[in-house]
Amino acid sequence: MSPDTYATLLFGFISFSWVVYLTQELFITGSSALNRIVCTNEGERRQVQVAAGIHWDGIEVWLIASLTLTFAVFPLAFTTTLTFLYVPFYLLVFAIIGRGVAIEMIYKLDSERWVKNVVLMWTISSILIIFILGVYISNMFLGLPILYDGSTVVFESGFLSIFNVTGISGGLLFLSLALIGGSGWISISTEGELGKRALVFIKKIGVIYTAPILLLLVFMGFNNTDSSIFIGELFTNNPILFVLPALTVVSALLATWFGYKENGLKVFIFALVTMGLFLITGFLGSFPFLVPSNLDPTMGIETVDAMVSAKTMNVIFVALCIFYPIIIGYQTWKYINFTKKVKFNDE
Amino acid sequence: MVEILSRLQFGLTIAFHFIFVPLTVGLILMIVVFEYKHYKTKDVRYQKLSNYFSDIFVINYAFGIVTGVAMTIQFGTNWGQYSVAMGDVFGSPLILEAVVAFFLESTFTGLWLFRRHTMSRRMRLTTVSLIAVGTTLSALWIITANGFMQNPVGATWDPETMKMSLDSFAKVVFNPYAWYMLFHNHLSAIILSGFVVLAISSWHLLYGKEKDKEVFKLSGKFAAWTVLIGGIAIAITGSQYLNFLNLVQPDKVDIINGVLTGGIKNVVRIAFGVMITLGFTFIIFSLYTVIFYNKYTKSPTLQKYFMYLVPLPYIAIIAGWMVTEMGRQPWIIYNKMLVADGISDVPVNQVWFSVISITIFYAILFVMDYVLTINRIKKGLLESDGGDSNES
Repeated sequence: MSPDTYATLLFGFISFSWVVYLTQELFITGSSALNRIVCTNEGERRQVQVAAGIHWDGIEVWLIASLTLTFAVFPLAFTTTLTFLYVPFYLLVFAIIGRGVAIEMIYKLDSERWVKNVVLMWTISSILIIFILGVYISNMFLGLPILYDGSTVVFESGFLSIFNVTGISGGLLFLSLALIGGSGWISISTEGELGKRALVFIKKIGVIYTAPILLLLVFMGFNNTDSSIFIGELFTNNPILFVLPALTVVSALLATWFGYKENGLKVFIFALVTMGLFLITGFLGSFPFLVPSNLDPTMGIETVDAMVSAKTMNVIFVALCIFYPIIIGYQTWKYINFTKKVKFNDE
Repeated sequence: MVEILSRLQFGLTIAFHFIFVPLTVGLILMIVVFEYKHYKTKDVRYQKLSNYFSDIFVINYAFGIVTGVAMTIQFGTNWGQYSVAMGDVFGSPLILEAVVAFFLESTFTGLWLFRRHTMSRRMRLTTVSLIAVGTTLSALWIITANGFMQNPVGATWDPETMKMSLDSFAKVVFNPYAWYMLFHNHLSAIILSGFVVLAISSWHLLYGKEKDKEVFKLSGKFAAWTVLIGGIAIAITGSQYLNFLNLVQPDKVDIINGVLTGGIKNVVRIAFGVMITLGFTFIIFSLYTVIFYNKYTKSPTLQKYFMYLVPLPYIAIIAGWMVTEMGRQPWIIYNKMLVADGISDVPVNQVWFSVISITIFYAILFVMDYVLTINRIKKGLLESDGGDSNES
């Protein structure tokens, strides 16, 4: 295979890893964030903790895999993004550390003060994780203010520019989908009143109506810049692909509908499908750009600009072809065998 | 300034990360032995020990995995030029570490933490074995990456473009430097865990519940043997490692021997001395304990020694890494690329932000880990101890 083919295939693997990660992170952070709303006592909170905690660290590795893959195959894209987003990435790391420690340690000390504070840390860090990721991902599709001429990268403004309308809408979109998917997850994976309460909450507060609106806002943002993913190589050559953003909106509307109907399983499914389709739309639209430029559409970083040698890509490609099916196999086995409804237990 | 701060931050984050890692790497191997004994003999004492030490493993594992994320992103945020220069070689071991090791250990640790109590003996043994395979493979791949920085083989450096290009992935993997490091590092983790288990057993013999004491006599003996065998093995492999070092990094050996002195070199020489002295101390202590084990179980003095000396194996490990990493300065890739050429082009105030916030945050985390671990140690064996679940 030619180096370009490897680069394209590995771009596909990176996109795939993000899709697998974010569709799962969605309901882990969402159900975690809802704990303070739906749990009336510590016994119920433990149910949510177990429902989210049993899977979180297996899921976390998909984030590490997505980032490390970008590093391993396209080091220039990796360092450009992380150098530019230095502060947001540290905030994300702090949130991830806070969440990981909290989710496992809530009931490790017999102290009310400890439990209260760790629960607060769990809730805030969960919200922060999904919001920052939303801002980050929507900006990666929108493009960063960079100019790359084939040898050097110039940043035209600071990292604060990612908090534009599209970026913030993207962050809120992820949060909204997380709460919707999270309430679905609570309702399918715990016994008792919890799931019902979660579904009533997102309906009463109106969270279910925000996802389609935010989604349209983000898509409009994508359409308004020169680097728009909808005028990218793939969308221009294959107009049929416009079915993807359309399906994303339809899926978000279905999530709203089933949220209105308080159908936990279907809310869960369509929140995840919406996230998946949104990401697929974005990655296909960005291709072949890893870091699009929102200043000049020709001056972003493409896969071929940033890729490592064919020999290295071959090693990585073979490793992924062998291990991804194995990983997906045992993680699926775990979902099938260990997603029984978490019972309530009065101790 | 960016360089100094980036070095400081990397040193701080990796040292902190490495407080948790060696304990989990060694402890999980001991837990596998407990589970194996339990599987074979159905002796519930081994199950109790496995459950007890699993709780301590899980606390430290959680801190280890989350602080590991901070390492990955620093290659992009703070060491951008290094990452671009080394992209062709450095990324593949890291991605292999993720797909071969991290997924395995994380997936099954989550299961072990929350669903241990529902498992059969066979399933228990399988789960902990998979976690142990994961942690060992993880060490293999990260040390492959570090071994290349120490002894760059299997790739060619182009000083013009400042880039490394891969010649043979097999040579990178079978780099003898990495394999010496792997054995040395793994043995050190085993000794440290043995020491920690011995210290915990000592605490229980001194202050613990009367009915727990029989079980902790068992773990104490097991741990003393672990430290002894590990200590002898590390002394033998360590001297061979040093002979090999003489071939590929003669400067480092000169620093250790006091031929080259001054500044950071003196620190390296002292660190080496500390490591060697502590290594022999461990052998003597554990040898005495193994021979006079009955005396140990009745001697509060010796038990107190083990309790209060538990920082020593941590100091030995940090001293060892100081020799390895400071001893190769100023190179980020030995004899090829300088550390100063590896840093990112970021505004200095952002690096200040991360250094200060990480320091504060990690201080809080350290207190949390300490309180949790000590608290769990003191609770002793629990009756319904089948993992962290809301179901009994």
